[in-house]
Amino acid sequence: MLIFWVLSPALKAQTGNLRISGFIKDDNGSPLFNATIYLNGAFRRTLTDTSGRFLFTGLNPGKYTVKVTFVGFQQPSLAVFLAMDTLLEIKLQRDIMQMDEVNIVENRSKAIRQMQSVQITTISQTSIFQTISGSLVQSIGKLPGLASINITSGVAKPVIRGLSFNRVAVVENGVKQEGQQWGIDHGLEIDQYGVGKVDVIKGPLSFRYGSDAIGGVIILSDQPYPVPHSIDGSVVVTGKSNNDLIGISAYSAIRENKGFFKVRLTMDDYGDVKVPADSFYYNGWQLPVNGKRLKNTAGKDYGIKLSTGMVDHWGTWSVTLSDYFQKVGFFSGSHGMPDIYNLQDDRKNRNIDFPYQKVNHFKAIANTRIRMKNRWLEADVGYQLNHRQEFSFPHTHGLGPQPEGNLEIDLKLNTLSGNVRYYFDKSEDRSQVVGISGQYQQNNRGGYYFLLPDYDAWSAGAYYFRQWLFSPGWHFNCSARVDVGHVHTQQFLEPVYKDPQTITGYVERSPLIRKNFFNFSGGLGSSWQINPTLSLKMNLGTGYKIPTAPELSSNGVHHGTFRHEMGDSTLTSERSFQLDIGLLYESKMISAGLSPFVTWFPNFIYLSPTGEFSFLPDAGQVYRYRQSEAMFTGGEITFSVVLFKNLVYHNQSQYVYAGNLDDGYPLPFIPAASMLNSIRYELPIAGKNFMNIYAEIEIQTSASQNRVARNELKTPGYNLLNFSAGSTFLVGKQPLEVMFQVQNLTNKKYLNHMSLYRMLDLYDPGINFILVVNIPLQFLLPQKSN
Amino acid sequence: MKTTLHFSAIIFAAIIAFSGCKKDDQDNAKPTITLNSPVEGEVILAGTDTSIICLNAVFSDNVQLKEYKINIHNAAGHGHKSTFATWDTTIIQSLDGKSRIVDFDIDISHFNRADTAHYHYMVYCLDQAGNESMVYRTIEISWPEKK
Repeated sequence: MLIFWVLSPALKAQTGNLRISGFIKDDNGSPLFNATIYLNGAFRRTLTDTSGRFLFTGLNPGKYTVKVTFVGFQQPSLAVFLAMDTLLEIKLQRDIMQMDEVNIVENRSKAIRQMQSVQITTISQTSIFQTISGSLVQSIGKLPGLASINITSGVAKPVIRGLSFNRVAVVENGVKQEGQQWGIDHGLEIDQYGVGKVDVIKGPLSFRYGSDAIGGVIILSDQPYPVPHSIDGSVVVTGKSNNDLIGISAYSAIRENKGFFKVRLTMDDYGDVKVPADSFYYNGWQLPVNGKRLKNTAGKDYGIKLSTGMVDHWGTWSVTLSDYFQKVGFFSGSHGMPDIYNLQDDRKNRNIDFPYQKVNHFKAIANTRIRMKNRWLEADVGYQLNHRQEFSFPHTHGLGPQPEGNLEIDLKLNTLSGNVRYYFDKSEDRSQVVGISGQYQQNNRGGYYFLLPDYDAWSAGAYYFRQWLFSPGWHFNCSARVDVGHVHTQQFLEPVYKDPQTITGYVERSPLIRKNFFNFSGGLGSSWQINPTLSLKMNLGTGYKIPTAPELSSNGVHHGTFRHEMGDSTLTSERSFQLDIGLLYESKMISAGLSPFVTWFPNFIYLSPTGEFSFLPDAGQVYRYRQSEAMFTGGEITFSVVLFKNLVYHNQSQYVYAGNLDDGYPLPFIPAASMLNSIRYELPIAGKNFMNIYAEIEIQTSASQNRVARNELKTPGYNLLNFSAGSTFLVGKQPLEVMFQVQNLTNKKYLNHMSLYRMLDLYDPGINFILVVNIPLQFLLPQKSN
Repeated sequence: MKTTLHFSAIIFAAIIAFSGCKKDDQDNAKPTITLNSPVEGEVILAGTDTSIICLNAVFSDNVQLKEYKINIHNAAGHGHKSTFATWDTTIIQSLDGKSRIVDFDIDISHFNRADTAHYHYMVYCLDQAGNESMVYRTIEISWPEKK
């Protein structure tokens, strides 16, 4: 299964100054990046660099156990009697029991990846820590094709190639995250410290993930199981200067032979965001930013995740419970009008005053994987409760009674989902899968303000996926799926008052809706390895989205957006057709990629201005969900070259063009064209007490966005300078991973087109020093002899 | 990397050329509002027979005006903890043509002392295409001091 080679037990024997170094490769000989190597005799661990290398130094002669962990591979352990410097080459065997979500379309190994027609970007937990930002979405937001809609420092929603809201599916442990994605000021409720790895797939994967997976899928995996008979853990401490964030996340996992238990606790607490300005201009008024801090943008996040399960020869099962809580203020001017009165300095930087939002996301997920030779069965079942609350002081309008309390909007969304997949033919070159999935949702509203009625919805689907080898190096795949869905919204009647006590009648704010939907989706893909350095991937696919209950039935002012949002009960399923091409050149010194795409929607659903004022007092005009023919096109270009040994230049640019083809107007929330230019230096092996040194300088360029939807503001371009550096230090025998970043090094004043505060002409955060220290811990348990 | 830039520009230009635009008679220009009255910080005495809030505004648009809306509400809303008066009012009127001067008086002679507060006086304007403008003033409605 595993192949170990002790390559060169040569060199001189020296007490206390011995080295164990080596290479970790997959079974095809491709180096594995970011594999974890444990040296148990010395309680040390390290990660492999991009060429799969690792190094331990300063060792005494003696017996050591080297263990290697890497998601998706078996976890070998190897005894080394160290008498002189030793070089190991370890080949890992894929472990189908550790195969996660992505494996239907991806595997880490380069050879398997070459077979896949879709383009996948994978980043590890270490990379997330190195680029950590306010939330998971912002931390991964610089990956090619990605962007984020930023609500405030800890709240953001993902955008893939200009598509967002319910058009990007986020899948954690096999279950699609269901929050209130339709809302512009609602973020993704995930604890970013608890994510072991992120896979981003661009393009429609509706065949696999059902409705919503039109723009792409973000797949989050947990940390790998600990090695048998060990206690694994880590403590991560984070500090940020811009909003005075202090964060701590502690993780521990214990595994006997088969059974394991994992726990993670996270806490982030942060103050008001600092911007490089003393004032901002809104609607012709100069308004103060006291102490250069945006009043009431402080917040706190808590996360807890518990997981238990078993790894056995027949397969694995696990149950994961998690809860994520966030309380975060809205900038004082963002609900209602910003004016001198509500922007007065309260002389507090960490308080959360009105208006603010509170969200709690609870998940219980059970995963099972059963192996039967070259067939296997996977099942995921999940229950989620997303509880979102927005608090603000009530306004009275008209003649009704003054509402009691400050709870403006209260939404409880319960989601029950299940997926079963059966791989009945799986080998190196081919696979066939059938799957079924289903979901039931129920949403209950509360609060003094009406935006969205109670509703329930269900959907169910079945799919088939097949991949085969057409000729050497050339793979094809096809997929097909059928779905049925149902949405049922309750009628909502609002009382009309003559005076605060007397109701004279009712107006219907939302009608009773019962609608059924039927969809077919599918795709064709091809992956062609033209020669050892050049490959071409093509996908032609169709995706769909069942209209969401808010799209069908909302009717009220969304205060964060200053507009009256109105649903349309006549909407039909949105459909997309996408062509996506990936041309990739990879040689030893240069890698370059070109990924154009074009997506056509015959009936794209979006909020469009109606040209009619809202009857509700605190909004401008009514925006109604409507369907139009629409086109999204653009792509990404990446280019990397090794300048000198260990020094790499990287360039990445991306662009999205989006328009309504019926009336020619641009569509809202389309990111500006952007480019990253960076130079990164990496030194995996530096000295006795430190290793994995890196330093990077990056110029982040955004073009201006002048193609804007009606009533969106044009945004000028900007350049930001960012810096990051880090290393792993040994303090005694304990490694410390230190990762440092400076975002917006020149403290540049700039506006982000994708920020919710763009409409207030409010600047984005200024300079931010970020320090992350990760302290990995590992202990071995006494092992029973058998 | 100039080459990369040029390359990307060509590719994207080609894509855009293929996608094309069906129509090009879009109107993205917002209507303009020139609000002469009330002025910022204006103090208006309530509770007299002649107490009114005067609107004098000029609305104009490059294509066609559609509607204007006035909303007056207590400035101590949403995020503010001060005591608040409950009075508010909303007026929506249609407009046409490219430019209109509007005078509109709101009677506050019926006000009582509890209604005195700082108010947001908001004026919105829409054109036919749905482009929206808004200007607002913070005004104070106060009660005549008895001497």
